[in-house]
Amino acid sequence: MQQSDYEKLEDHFTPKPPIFKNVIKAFVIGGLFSVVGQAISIFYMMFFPFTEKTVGNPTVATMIFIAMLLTGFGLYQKIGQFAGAGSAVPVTGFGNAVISAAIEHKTEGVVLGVGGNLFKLAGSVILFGVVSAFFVALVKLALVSIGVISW
Amino acid sequence: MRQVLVLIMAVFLVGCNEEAKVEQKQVSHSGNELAEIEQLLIKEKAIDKAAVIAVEDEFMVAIQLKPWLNYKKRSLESDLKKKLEKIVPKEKLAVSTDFKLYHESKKLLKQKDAKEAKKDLEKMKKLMEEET
Repeated sequence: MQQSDYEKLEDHFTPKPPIFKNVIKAFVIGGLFSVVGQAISIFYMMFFPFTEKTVGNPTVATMIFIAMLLTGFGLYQKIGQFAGAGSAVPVTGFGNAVISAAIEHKTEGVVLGVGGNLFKLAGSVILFGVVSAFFVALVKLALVSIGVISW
Repeated sequence: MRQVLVLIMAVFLVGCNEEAKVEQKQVSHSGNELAEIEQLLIKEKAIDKAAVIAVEDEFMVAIQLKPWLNYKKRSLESDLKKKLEKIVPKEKLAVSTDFKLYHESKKLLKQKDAKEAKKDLEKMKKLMEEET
């Protein structure tokens, strides 16, 4: 049997993922996360001196913290199984990635196990986040110095 | 099914509770700029709610835009500022579309003490200048 034949056979027997259903699930659950985030940011604005401009940081931190707690209690995995990308794409996915890596490598010790692998998944998020932020800032600087937009 | 309908109706009806579009207050301030500002704001279609406060000779205009217009926040804010600057001199005027500032202004509307009001206004102006 050729490899291409095998692939055909495999395609034939693999169940088709219900893409449309998954997209709807991800949309709804991801949207619910956003509603919670909005509620948290409104809470911070009403009871603490944060404006719409500055409220982003504490909100993101709180959302990540909640996701970390949920991961630790084993609840986030259940949400993830149901919602798929809806739970991985928002910023909460970052908290989940950090803590699940920590739990996975706990047996290898605190320093080399947890410490060395904590950012195994999330490290790329930070790296590409920082790099892309740098380039976006360069583009904005260029546009501002030409005079197209203002800060 | 009927219960769900009733629930949906209730949610929509709660949204219909009519409040004045523009609320205003002046603390130890005389002059009719506030009425002028109010007229201008009522005519603006983009504005959902607004609170206008005058403490001594300083003005605070806090606006909430209609939800879908939040994308154009900056340009709408600067447009409005230009219009308002014809009524009140630039240095004495603060215009904001921020939710926090609107929330604080609503609180300030109930403030009776002039000194406290002045303090609150200063605090709000500081908040406006804060950067991330």
